[in-house]
Amino acid sequence: MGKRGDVVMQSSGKPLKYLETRSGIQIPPGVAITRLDESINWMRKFSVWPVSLGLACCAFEMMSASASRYDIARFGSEVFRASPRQADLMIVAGRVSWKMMPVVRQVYDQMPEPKWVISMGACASCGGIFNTYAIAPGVDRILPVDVYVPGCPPRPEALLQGLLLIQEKLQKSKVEYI
Amino acid sequence: MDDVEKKNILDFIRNLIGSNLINSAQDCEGVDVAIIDRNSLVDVAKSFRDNPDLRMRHLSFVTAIDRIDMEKLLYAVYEFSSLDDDRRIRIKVPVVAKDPWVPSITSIFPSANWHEREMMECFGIEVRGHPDPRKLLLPDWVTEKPLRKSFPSGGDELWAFHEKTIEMFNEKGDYAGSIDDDWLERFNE
Repeated sequence: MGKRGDVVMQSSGKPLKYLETRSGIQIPPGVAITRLDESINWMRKFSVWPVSLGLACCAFEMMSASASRYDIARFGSEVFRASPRQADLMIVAGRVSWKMMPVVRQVYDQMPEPKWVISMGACASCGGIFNTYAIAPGVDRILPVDVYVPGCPPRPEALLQGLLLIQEKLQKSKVEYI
Repeated sequence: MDDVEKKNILDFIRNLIGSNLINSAQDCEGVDVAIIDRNSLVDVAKSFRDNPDLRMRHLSFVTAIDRIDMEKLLYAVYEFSSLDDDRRIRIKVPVVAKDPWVPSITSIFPSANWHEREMMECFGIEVRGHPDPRKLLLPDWVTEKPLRKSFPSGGDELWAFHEKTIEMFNEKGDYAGSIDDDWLERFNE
């Protein structure tokens, strides 16, 4: 039998010791300590909610990524919001025409901080095959893009990797306390 | 379709507008082409719709051709067809590049509405009497006429157009303000 305060593991019967920090604080088993930044980012990165912004054929790959086969819900981003006020990730899926650009920019502006942008596909990243007056040569001159997903259109796996890169970036980001 | 009928349409137009029929021809597919003065376009369109013998009640398309570098002319092109008989005719209206305007036929053929708006913004041909002369496809700030031959189809000149637009976006700074209320109101219509 262990001393008072020890937690006994049911299977082995061995007592688990309290972890003692250098400052003498005793941490019971099952409790982990970490930095607040890390824990907030860790929670945040598995609930990145994208805003629904399907502009062209890339949108079908985005829908496929959120459907059952590829299942973006495995990474916590299944909640596509119709309102930018409830979203923190913008997936620019498709070519952006100059006529659409003020709308895209306004939707981005309406998203609350912190927010991230994935430029999905060749057209959103650089204009793609559209060498015309009507299509903007890349959304990155107007929006701050975090991750570019290449492809025409990218497969759902590529979009998922883009999401993982966003999570990686998000985990490293600094949390601002007010 | 026999030749007599074809001849009849051109004859009909000639009888209707007289010397305002500048020229008539056939294209490579055998479609009649009548080049008429812009002042008689409304009369011709009206008779196409109303005349029970012609029955040219369908406006197939409206477009324009840029011939500025060769003839200093722009052509507004209207193709009418008959849904009753297999007949087509193409009406070309030459306008001088310095004073490009044609009368609107939207009041006669409502389907010309969007075509004429596109013609206005892409070729810079003013359509007088149009009920709703806003831009259709282009953003409001574009002053260039992108379907004219003088507009660059690629390369550095097109990049200059894009750079100008990007600069205009970035100058605004407050992007939420880049959509003014007037624009938003029309967008929501």
